[in-house]
Amino acid sequence: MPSKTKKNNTERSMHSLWIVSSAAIVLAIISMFVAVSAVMYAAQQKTVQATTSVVQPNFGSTLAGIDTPLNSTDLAVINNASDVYFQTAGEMYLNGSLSDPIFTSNNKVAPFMVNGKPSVIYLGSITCIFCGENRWAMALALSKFGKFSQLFTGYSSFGDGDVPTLYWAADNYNSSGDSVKNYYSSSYVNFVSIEDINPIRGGFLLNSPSKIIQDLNATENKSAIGAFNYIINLSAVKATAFMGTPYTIWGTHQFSGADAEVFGNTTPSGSVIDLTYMTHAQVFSQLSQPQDQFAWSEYAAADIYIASLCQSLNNTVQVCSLPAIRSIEARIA
Amino acid sequence: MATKNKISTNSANRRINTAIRIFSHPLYILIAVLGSSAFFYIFHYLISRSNNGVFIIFTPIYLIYALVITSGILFSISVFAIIHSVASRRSGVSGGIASALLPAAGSLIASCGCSFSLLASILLFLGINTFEAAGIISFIGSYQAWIILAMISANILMIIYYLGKPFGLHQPLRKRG
Repeated sequence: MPSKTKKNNTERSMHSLWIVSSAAIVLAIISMFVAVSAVMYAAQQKTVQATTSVVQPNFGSTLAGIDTPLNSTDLAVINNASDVYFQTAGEMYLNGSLSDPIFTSNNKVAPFMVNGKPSVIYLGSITCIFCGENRWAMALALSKFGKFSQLFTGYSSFGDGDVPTLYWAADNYNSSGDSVKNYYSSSYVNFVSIEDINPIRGGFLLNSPSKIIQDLNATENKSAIGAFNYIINLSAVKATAFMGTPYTIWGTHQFSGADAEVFGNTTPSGSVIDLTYMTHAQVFSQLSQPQDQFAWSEYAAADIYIASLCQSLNNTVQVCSLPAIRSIEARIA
Repeated sequence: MATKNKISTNSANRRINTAIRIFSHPLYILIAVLGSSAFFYIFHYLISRSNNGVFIIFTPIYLIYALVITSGILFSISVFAIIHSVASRRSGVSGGIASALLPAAGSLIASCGCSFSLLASILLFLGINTFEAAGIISFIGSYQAWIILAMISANILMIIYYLGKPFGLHQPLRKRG
């Protein structure tokens, strides 16, 4: 009997030991998980702070200067960007020097003609982070075919990175609607911008197609109404279907999504986004004299759009003669 | 009332005992850990694929960790049920499927709602025009954190439910000596 009691006690001790060991192992693994992510987060934060000269307070929830028209200096950074920057960035993209994802995948579509000119059509949202980062490249690309008389400082929504961006017009960022206004003029292309608007302090939100149509009809802008119906027709085909914002058409090339993911000088991993911590002044400073990953990648992303338009216009514009643009045209074809 | 309290206490004790007996075996801890790791890898892959190779999320990462860990635990309990109890085999399979599906579903909404290429592909396959669904998709995206919290809660409820199943563990210890 005593030996059986002793055996029971031993069994119970072993049982308890297993339980304690198991619990310890589980806690250790969870702690390791948390520790690794904390280290990675801290490293990313450090990299972010090292690459931005000034860290502003309340980043991730700032609307400082929203809807402010660009001053002449900042507007010139967009309108008068040197061809050298586009050429250099294009070379870097072609030889694989850029670490940011930049894509050429697109679909051939019939051009949307207005007044005898092909169009650049943009359907996006002020709340969307991908639209936010892509407008920099779009503005640079469009500047090679025309000029902006005005652009405005903007942000993506608080729930979508709050990244500094450009707005095509001074949008009412506290309401729901759709804006078709922009201040672009060109003798080569039309720029039809359909900017979906929802409260910027929330997350990404896109109005339903019926609401968008209703808003566009209220503007009586025939180009925008026609462009949106064109997108709806294209969405009946899987290849060109709307799969999120931004949705752009550059002459005869349709892009589903942004053509690049340029979120600062580090590639984001998780919820830390370098671009969130930049001010508009820092962005313009980098674009005016490109020397870092962010600036070169934005110019390279612009090159993709430029090459698309050049193909659509049979290379009749000066920028189309850049060797890098010619090489990129071969890729997007 | 006293009887009711006694029944619920016994039920809770039974669940705790079941959990202890399952996870006192290193194999099921290992299954839970490997399952959590696999689910996180699936989550990471789906997010990155949706964002052209960039892992970018707008949901707090600790919610994602909680989702994959509870899914891993549920998966381990499901494996135990399948192995040890013929009567509970069906529920074990359903628990296992649920534990894998929830993190995958979470990945469809945890990133930016503006880039819903994966979800759009699924909708198109089902014959649903993504443009018509865009508003709904973005609405779902705006409640990411709450939806993932609901998934975590679902995992926990399923864990509690399955621990109450008779896996043949609830015989009283034989008195010896």
